[in-house]
This record gives sequence, structure tokens and C-alpha cells, in this order.
Amino acid sequence: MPIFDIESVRRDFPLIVNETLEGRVYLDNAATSQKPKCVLDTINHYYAQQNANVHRASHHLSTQATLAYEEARETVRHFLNARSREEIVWTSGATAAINLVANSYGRRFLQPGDEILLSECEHHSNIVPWQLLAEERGLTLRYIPVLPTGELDLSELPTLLNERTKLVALAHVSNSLGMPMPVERVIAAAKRYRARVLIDGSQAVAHDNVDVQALDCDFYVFSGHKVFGPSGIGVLYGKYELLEIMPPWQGGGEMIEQVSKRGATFTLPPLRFEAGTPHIAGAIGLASALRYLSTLDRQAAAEYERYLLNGMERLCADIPGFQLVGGQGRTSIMSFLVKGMHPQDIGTLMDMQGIAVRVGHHCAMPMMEALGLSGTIRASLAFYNNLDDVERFVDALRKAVTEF
Amino acid sequence: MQQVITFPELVTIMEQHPISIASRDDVLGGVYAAQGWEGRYRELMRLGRDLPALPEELYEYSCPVKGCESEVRLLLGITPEGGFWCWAHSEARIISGLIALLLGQVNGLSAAQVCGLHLEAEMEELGLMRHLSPSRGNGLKAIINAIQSHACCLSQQA
Ligand SMILES: Cc1ncc(COP(=O)(O)O)c(C=O)c1O
Repeated sequence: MPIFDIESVRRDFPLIVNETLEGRVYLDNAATSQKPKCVLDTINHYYAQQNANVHRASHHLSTQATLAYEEARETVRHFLNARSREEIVWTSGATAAINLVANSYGRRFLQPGDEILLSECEHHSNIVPWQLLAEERGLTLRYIPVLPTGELDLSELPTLLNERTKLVALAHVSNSLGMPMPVERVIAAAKRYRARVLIDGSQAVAHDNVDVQALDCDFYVFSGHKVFGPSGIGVLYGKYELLEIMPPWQGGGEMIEQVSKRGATFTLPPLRFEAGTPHIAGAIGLASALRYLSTLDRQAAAEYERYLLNGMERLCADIPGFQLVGGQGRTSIMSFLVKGMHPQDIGTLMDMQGIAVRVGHHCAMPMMEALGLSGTIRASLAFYNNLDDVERFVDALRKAVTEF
Repeated sequence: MQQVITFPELVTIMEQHPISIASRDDVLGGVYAAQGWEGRYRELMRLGRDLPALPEELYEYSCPVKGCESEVRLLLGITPEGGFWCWAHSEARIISGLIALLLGQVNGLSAAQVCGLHLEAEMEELGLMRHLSPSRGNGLKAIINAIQSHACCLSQQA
């Protein structure tokens, strides 16, 4: 077993402590993660002692709030290893970040006949904004096909990518199966055609460090709530030279330089894309979560998650009818079926036993269709889960399958 | 859009549903008698397994119920004598079992009687309210709504 002080980490998460006392097990971490106490304290402290609007007033509180808010941006810059904090745009989540790119970059720079390349494994959030844009602008969407193992079939990449490809949008890790996507290879191939690349890091950030400079992607998005931060806050990273030429998407306060009745001039990024009063407590809370992560040995945490996942798969192997979905190399997600049983029945019987898992298409209907599935059951781990959680899950699954 | 079937050929089939007011005590007794959640869910699974799917001639007129994790098909009909009949089915057994519980309360009543029922009360009595919570995409609530809005609509027309 890898060296990772699980019991002390677990104590940092009040909800996990409480669920354990109540006899329940939380294995729906891919949908949203729980928050360490320091995040709750930070949010509480913000509202108790710092709350004021940011970037507006010069009084004491506003100065304090603005400082904390901009420091939080710096924490995210550090987390992603972006070049400058001006490359970090606050959004309400990954979905909003993708919509921002589609509506700002996409509407300005994509022309009828241009192509966008996606994969069949994408979350609906990384499909539908592009479909809306394609319809409006007369673009063509193409999809990198998925293999039965959940891996992408890159053999077709040479024909899918061409001079018309202007943008590639790809998950870093797939949310339904937990398969890491070949982002490095796709980014390298896209560069040859000067296509811009957006990486949806929603399922990656909770499990690994990210380096956007090493990846050399143009955009990277994630949601705070999936990385132990609050909900309602997310991040769009964009290379500054791109953000600089992108028009605003939403108009309002804080994003302008000057407004007259005839029109307005817009401020520089990132504020250009942050119209209106932002989710200040969310931004500061997210930074607190990222600082918490930086106190952990993330490699050890990732190894520990792999250890739990392997144990889970091994213990499930002799449950009658158990079928794993997806191939090797999955990070912290076990998607599966049980022969002869409907996933929804399993989900209900797990819920009755206090085990939280997710059932269904996991907002990835095109992928389910490609794999010929109508849905799966998904158990997803975080580093605060322990062997006891895994064993209780396996016992409950065995009971659901053999006693009902 | 859900329609209410009145074609004699089809309502004669619909009247044959094994679960109705007349058969409810026989068919559903097990669920009511079951002890503990395990016993109750075993009975629900058994009911769900036995619930007939819609035969082809009915399926054609049925509608998918929105908000279902598993697909549910639903068809409503009314006999010339004014008997209200509902057919519904899901691939998931527990949902089908819950559907059976509903059908046992409505099939064979008049539309006006169905309109006056409090279908959720029975679920509550059996400790099955969690299946009606808005977070569940299982559409049981949608089925109840469809049954009652049509029944109430029909009883006003009558
Ligand atoms: C891969 C992926 N992309 C995008 C999203 C959307 O995230 P949010 O709903 O927080 O915007 C999710 C969340 O389920 C996801 O897993």
C-alpha cells in the first residue's frame, strides 16, 4: 500500500466524516467532490470579515476583497502553471468556460465551412456549445471515434484533421469511463494545421497536476466543485495572445473601459470576460482548495487512488455477471454493468444500502451510443475514500446482485 | 403528446391488463406484507419482472415518459363504459414494480375516481417516497402526473 496518510486526510473533510458516522459511502466524486474544512473556513471568513464588491470601490473592505480575489487568481495560475495571471478568467464552471470560448472566439474567428474536431467521449458540455455555434456559423463538427476499450481511435486522425480544422476540443480524462485521452498527441497533430485546442480538464484536475505550458494547449477549462472547491466557480485558461484578440461575450460592469450612450470600449483580459459582480467567495474558496492540494503529495494521492481502484476491480471480479466498461489506465473511475440487471435497479439497491454511485449515460450520450450501451453504473473515487469504503461498496453490490 | 385511446379494438386489449382494482389484493399483497426494505424491494423487483410490456399494437400508440433514467412507455385508454386503463412499462424492474403499484390503484376505475385519488399517499405509506424526489430522473412523478391530468381532463368532459 502506498504511503498516504488517509486517516488524517479524511478528517479534513467534514462531510466525509459525517457520512461515515451515518453509515453511508460517497462514491460519486466525478459528479462533484467534497470540500476540505479549510475551504469552508475560507468562505465563512470571507463573508464574516472581508465581504465587499471587487474592483469598484477604494474603501478598506473593497481593497481587502479585491486583493484576496486577485490572489486567488494567482493561486490558479500557479496550479495550472500559466505564464501570467491575466490568462486566468473566472467563469461559473467548465460549461460556462466552454460557452465563453464558443461565443467569443468561435463567433469571431470561425467561418462557414470551417471544422471543429471533438471526440465521441465528450461530456455534453463540450459538445452542445459547439453544435449551437456550428448551426449558427455553418461549421462542420467531426468526432474522433471511440474504441470498445474507451480509448480514442487515432488511426483516423490524419483524415479528421485538415486545413479546414480551426478548433479541437477534447477532454483530458473522460467522465463516463475515466479513460485518459491522448491529449499530447492530438495537440501536436492539431498544431500542424494551426488549429486551436481546448482541453476540458474537468475530470483531470482532482487527480493530477496540470501544466498548460507543457501541454501547449490554447484553452484549458475546469470547474471548481470537481476539485474540492465550491460550486458556481470555474476557470478558463487562455493564452494571452488569444484572449487579447477575443471580443467580450457578456456585457456589463467591470468589463468596460468607458461607456457612452453611443457605445463602449472594453478593458483588457481577464476582466473583459468577467461582466458583473463575480462569485468572489467562490474564487477565494477555490484557491483555498488548490492550496490544500499543494500541501498533499499529489503523486502519492494518485497512486493511492489507483490502489483503491485496483482493489475495487479485483474484489468485484467474482460478482456474478460483473462487466467492467473501458480499458486500462483509468483514473479513479469504475464504470460497469451487471449482466441481466438494469443499471437503474443496481443504483437504487446501492442507494438503499447507503452507497452513492451514479447511474445512466453520464451526460455522454454520443459515447454511449458509439459503445452500444444505454448507460452504466459509475463508482468514482477521490483520495479521501478508503479501503473500508471500497469493501462496503463491493459487499453492497454483491448483495444487490445475488439477493434481489 | 400523450393521447387517450378509445378505439374499441385497442381498449379491449387494454382491459386485459393483469393488474387492476379487481386483482390488486392478489397481485400487490406481497409488497404490502413485506417486511423491511429488502423484502419490499424483492417484491417490487418480482412485480416489475412480471409486469407485461406493451404489446406491439399498443406500443405503437404509447409515448416515452420524459425524465426517465430508464425508458418508460405509457399508454392511457378509456372504455365505452368509462373504465380508465393505463399500460406502462420500463426495462428497469424497480420502476416497473412501482408502476404496478400505481396500476393497481387506477385500472378499472372511472376517470373521475382516478382524478380524485391521492396516488402519492400510497407511495408514502409504503416508504417509497424517495422515488418521487425531484433528483431522481426516473419519471415516476411524470407518470403520476400524466395519469391524473388526463383522468381529471376526461372527467370534466364527461
Ligand atoms: C468532462 C466534463 N466536462 C464538463 C463538465 C461540466 O461541468 P460543470 O457542470 O461543472 O460545468 C463535467 C461535469 O460533469 C465533466 O465531467
